[in-house]
Amino acid sequence: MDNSQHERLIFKERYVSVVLIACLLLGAFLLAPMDAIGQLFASSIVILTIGWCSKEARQTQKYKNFFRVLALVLGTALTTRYLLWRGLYTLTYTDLISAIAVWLLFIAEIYAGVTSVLGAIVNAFPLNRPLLTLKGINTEGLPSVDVMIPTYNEDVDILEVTIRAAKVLDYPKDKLFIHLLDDGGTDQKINAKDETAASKAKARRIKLQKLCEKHNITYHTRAKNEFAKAGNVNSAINNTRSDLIVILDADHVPTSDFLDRTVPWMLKNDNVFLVQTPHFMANPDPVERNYFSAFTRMPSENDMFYGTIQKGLDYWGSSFFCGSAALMRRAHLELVGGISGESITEDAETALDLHKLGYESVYVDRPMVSGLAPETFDAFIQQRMRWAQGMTQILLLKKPFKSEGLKWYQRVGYMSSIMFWLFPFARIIFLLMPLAYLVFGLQVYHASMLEILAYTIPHVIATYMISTMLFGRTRWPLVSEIYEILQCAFTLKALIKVFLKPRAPSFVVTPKGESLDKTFVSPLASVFYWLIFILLFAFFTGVIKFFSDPLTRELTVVVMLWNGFNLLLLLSVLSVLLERKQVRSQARLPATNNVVIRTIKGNAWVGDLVDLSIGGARMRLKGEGALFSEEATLTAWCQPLNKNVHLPVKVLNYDSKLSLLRVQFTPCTEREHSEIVAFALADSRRWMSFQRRRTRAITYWYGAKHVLSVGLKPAFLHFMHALEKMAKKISHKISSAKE
Amino acid sequence: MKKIYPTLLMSLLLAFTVQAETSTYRLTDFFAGESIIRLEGKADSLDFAIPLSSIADVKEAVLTLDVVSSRALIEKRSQLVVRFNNATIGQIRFDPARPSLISEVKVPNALWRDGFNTLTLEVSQHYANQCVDGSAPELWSEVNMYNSTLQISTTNNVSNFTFDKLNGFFNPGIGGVRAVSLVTATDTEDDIKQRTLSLVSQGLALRNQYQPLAIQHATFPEGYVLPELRDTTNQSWTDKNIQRYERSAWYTTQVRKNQDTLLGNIKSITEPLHVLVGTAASLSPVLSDTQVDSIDGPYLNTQVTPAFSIGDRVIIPSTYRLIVSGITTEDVHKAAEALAVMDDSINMVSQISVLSLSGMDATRMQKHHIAAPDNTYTFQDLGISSAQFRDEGDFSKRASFMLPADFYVPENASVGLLLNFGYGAGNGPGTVLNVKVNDELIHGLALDNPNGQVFKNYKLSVPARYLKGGVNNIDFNVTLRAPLAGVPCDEVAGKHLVFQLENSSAIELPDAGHVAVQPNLALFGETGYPLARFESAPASTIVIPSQDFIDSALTLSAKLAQVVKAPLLNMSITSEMPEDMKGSAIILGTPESLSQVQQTEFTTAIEATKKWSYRLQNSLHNRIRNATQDMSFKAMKIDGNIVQKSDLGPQAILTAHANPQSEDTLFILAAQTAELLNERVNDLVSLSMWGQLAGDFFAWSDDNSPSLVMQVSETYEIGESDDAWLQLRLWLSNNPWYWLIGFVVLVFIVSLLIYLLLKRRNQKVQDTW
Repeated sequence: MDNSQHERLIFKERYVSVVLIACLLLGAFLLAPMDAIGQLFASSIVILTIGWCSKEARQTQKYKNFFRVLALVLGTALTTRYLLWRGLYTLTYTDLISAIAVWLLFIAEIYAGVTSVLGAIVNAFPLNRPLLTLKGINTEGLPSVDVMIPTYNEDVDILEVTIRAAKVLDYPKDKLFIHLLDDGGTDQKINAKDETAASKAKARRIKLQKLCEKHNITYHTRAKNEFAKAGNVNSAINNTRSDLIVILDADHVPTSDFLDRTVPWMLKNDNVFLVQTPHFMANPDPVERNYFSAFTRMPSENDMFYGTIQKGLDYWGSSFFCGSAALMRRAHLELVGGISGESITEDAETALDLHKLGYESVYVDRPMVSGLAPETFDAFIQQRMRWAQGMTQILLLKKPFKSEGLKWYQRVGYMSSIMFWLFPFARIIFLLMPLAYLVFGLQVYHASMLEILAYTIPHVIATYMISTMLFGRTRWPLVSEIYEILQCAFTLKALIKVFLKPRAPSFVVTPKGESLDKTFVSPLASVFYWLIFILLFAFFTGVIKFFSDPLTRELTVVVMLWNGFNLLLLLSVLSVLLERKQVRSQARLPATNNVVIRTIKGNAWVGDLVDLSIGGARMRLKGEGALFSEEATLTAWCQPLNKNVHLPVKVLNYDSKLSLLRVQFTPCTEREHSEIVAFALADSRRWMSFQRRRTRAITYWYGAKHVLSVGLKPAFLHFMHALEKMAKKISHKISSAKE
Repeated sequence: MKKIYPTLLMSLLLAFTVQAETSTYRLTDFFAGESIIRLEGKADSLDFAIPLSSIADVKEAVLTLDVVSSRALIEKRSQLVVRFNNATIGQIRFDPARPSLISEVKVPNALWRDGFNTLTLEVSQHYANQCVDGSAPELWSEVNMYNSTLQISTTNNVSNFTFDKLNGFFNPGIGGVRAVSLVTATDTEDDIKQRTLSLVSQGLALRNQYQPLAIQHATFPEGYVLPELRDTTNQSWTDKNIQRYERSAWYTTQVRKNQDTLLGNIKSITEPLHVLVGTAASLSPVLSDTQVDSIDGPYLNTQVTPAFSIGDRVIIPSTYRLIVSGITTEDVHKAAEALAVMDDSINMVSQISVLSLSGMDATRMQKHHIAAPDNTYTFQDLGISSAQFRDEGDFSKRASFMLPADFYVPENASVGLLLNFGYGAGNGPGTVLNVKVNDELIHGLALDNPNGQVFKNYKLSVPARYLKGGVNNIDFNVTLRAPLAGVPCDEVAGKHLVFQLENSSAIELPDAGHVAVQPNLALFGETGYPLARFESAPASTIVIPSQDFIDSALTLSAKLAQVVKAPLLNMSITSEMPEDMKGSAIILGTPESLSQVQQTEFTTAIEATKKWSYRLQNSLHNRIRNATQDMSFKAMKIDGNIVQKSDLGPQAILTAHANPQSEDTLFILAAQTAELLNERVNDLVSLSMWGQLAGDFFAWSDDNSPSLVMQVSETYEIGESDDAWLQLRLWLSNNPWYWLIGFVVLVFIVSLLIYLLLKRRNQKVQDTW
């Protein structure tokens, strides 16, 4: 270490000491006693300041990052002040049961406060990396790449789309090797005792081998299904040789520029082991489809993670592997024995292991892989349970908070990501705690109305304001609450299992591409019916308490508002449980390409695409009143292929008033199939444009109003559905009685 | 000798066969509720107590009732029954033709008892002979308690004046004295004037409990001038007569009020009892040599002085006198201390020599009757008795207890009430218990178990902010209703109904700080704060500009002792304005004398020129605006002062300010002259006026109601100076701006430092691209 480095280190240490001293002083200020009126006055000013700072932070201006930090420090200070006040003055109880309830609530609040502070640190300064490209780099020196597509039970159709897209990756063909890793046709599966299963596995192996042969890619399988996806990938790693490895889930379709945008980061820094890109979901998850019906207008669930949090983690050098849509360096992977398999979230675990060794990760915020979100609520819950269990396994088995090799901020980053998944504990407490007071009369929150106004309300408002500032574009208000409520009952059970037996959970593949040919109520709905019933009961008990106990009216009103808020959210989630019929097998996403429609007779029309999928397209034609023959050709510029494509289409419908033409692709040749995939799914600019369109800034009140307004209608639908079910049963009984 | 004894006997007879004293009291003097009470339903009643001093013998008592009854009441079955100590003394028939009546009822002398006598007004009201609906609105009658009177003639029954009779003289009941003179030698020691007189006043006032006691100070002349024996030409000042004269309380006819100049008017003491205070030496002109010789330390004596009469003419009447004396001034003070704390009833003697006193700790005394925070008290500990209610009707039980005047709790603190109560079987609908804390309803419970129920440790958690420093009241209002018979014109009698509240019920007080918002005359009136405190008993002073004001000062100190329910041992009266005015003080004076007091910092100033705050004007302006409901002119909210030159007129003004020289409160009590001030102080300490003290500016000119009550000054807190945390809390609570500025500066610094760190890291990351 030279002198200048040593001096810099000393300066840094002193600087950090000053920051810590200032923080301690601030903490002392927060501890300073003051009556509620004074606190209310101070809080009001602080809230106004946060509002101003967060507004400035969202403007494009020189000091926006400073305002962002200022708002975060103010918000964190209010949260800290609230928790200090709760801990010092309000934890009063008279008996053991009250004590348990009081402490449970306080622990849940501490959890919420800690995750909020960790979130503030992580997202304080999101990193915006420039877009790099391979253009201009000598192809001779480029590293070879193995594209690995692990599969277990996915449809061949899904796989074929992914393979076709992988084939059009913009990368020297002699350095690009595509591998299908089949875990559904292993020797173990083929030789299973269950003959039906064995024959199915055998058939699958043959089918996939033919598919690989057709597309000239390598088919891999292995003897045993050990360590699930991690084992499958590791098996392939042992049998391949390229410098870099791309892992794509079976349904993850890459755009042609995936390698063009990611490989340069590997070339720039040999220490980089991972270049992660966002998972762009081409279809709505059950919440988006059933609840909001606004997939194209409001941010998707994972936009918050990939659009904000990963960028924050990237700043702190702790963006992690998300299982797919990532480029990894073989040399580094081999150092840790390939993909880690101790937990069922092998991706984050692998990243943690390599971060511990001092290697770096990069996050490129450009959607270059489109995947499928789980279609049903059941599948959605299954996926989330795996993530929650896996992250908890990492917490328990790898203990990132004290992992050697990790910098403090990387620990904060991992802990922030992991702690989030413990939300079911807190959410259940927040949901049920009003009952402790309203039904059982336990005073779990020992505070006066004035104190609630001075401490609790400012803390809640500040939390929402900070959340809106950090995630306003990528997450609408109350959406997080709805997702958490939906998952909490199921993931809580799964988490308890992990805490009891950290190594017990096994990898379960998330079902994707399920078809929904009719509307039905999710089989998981009963938990929510019970919760609603309990909260309604608490509500009515609260009404009685309000009239019978004038002494505690203020508190009763506050708790009833809390309970009412929970009830409103629960009623809202009913809509998610009403699985709506899905008309198309592929979700159509907005598109804006210029196209030409040409009939067999030689007539041609010019138009602009409105939406597009690999199944078909909708376009607005220019010109008036036109008649079409059933068969036609769609011609458009295909950026991934860098040429015009001529795709055979079948006209389904023409709306002459709106000049909207709906067509279905009818590819006949392999080339046409591949061109459709390249045209529809391999252009990352389209995903970018789509994502920008739905991650627009809205006001808090607009978002909250929208979320709540669409939430109550389904309660009525559920009621109607139950009535319908009952009527059917009665008519069935009557008819059987007649017989 | 033979001649002397008949003369002495005659003198005594003449002295004590004085004519009975007749007084007329309004019934509102005995009843704290509304001046008109309404009795409703088929049967209703009202009880109230009439206290009678033990030294009073009732010669005649006539109760005059002013009653109005509903015209709907039928004559034969509707009546007002008057009971006295449970004996029926009158039955007044309601006549629909004569709904308004004034009736006189004689209260038999034999029914009177020492202490509290219960007068019951009970009505039975019917609008028909059968099937009367007990809740019918026409079943009512009203008693005007203000117009109704009790005329009572009493005589004093004390012949042998011993200490156990002292409680009879100083007694809140009828026959008790309401004024007393403290008589000292003209040149009595300053220490006695400053400390002892105040303590004697307090000791006597404490016996009077809540009844005000006007204290007057007088001095006896150093020598006497024998009065002319007019109309007794056959008599002359023989040696024997002179000896008899000397044995009498001759000085009571020659006392002076103005001691400073010795030019004050010679006056007579008219009260039946007076107190001699002073050292043996200073009292020697008025005591016999034997008595002076018997004083060998702190000395208390009760005496009946013989009358001096010549023939039929009583020249010096017989009087009762209490002597507080000693060899030294310290002895006298010790005797006064003993007088203040002694239990009269066990001292059936007339002379006490105090050998020693222990436990005379001012702080302990002031807090002995106050419930201490962070403690649990049963009702019994607080002197609250159990209550049992029977029969149908509305009942209430008030549990009163004192909290420290500076009781200060955080917002979320709560008080636990652990109630032990029960009710019997067979209650009807509408049987309920309501609990109120300081008039705030906190809990209601329907007593609807047909088999009755008993509750043990029934817990109510009451926010501590419902309690306040000073007197707190918990009211248990119980309504007992008989079950419905279900048959028309048939009712279940409610004799079986019973509710019981046990005095084993308890109150759990939270921990509290000791801080009070000042200036607050209401708190001063209720608790004596800040002159009397819970945590400490700092020295407090009543400053008078001259001895002309000593009566006011003594009366005020006596009232404060009644308020505090304990003697204020550290209170002194001084006639010199201290240069360094530390602690709490009451400054009495006239506008001229108050010019010595630096009042420039006060919002209002009473000097030769007066400074009135605009807020007073605002109040007047806004009061008229509200009264006339003329909203065409805006509410006045302006700050400022008017400086004017004028008299105070007949009114007196009591103001409270932050003491500019210490963290305490300064009270200023002024009237135009010393005599006027004394009159107004006597008005102020009256039951009707003292309870109306409020704000920090209080003006009055009679004993009915104040002419103006206002909060003029900015408030501030005083309290525990040793609790730095509490002090910080108060300071920050009053100055949140300071906290906010500090907070914002720190947040800015922290944010800036963090921002620079983050920016630096960002730059470092970008450098690698």
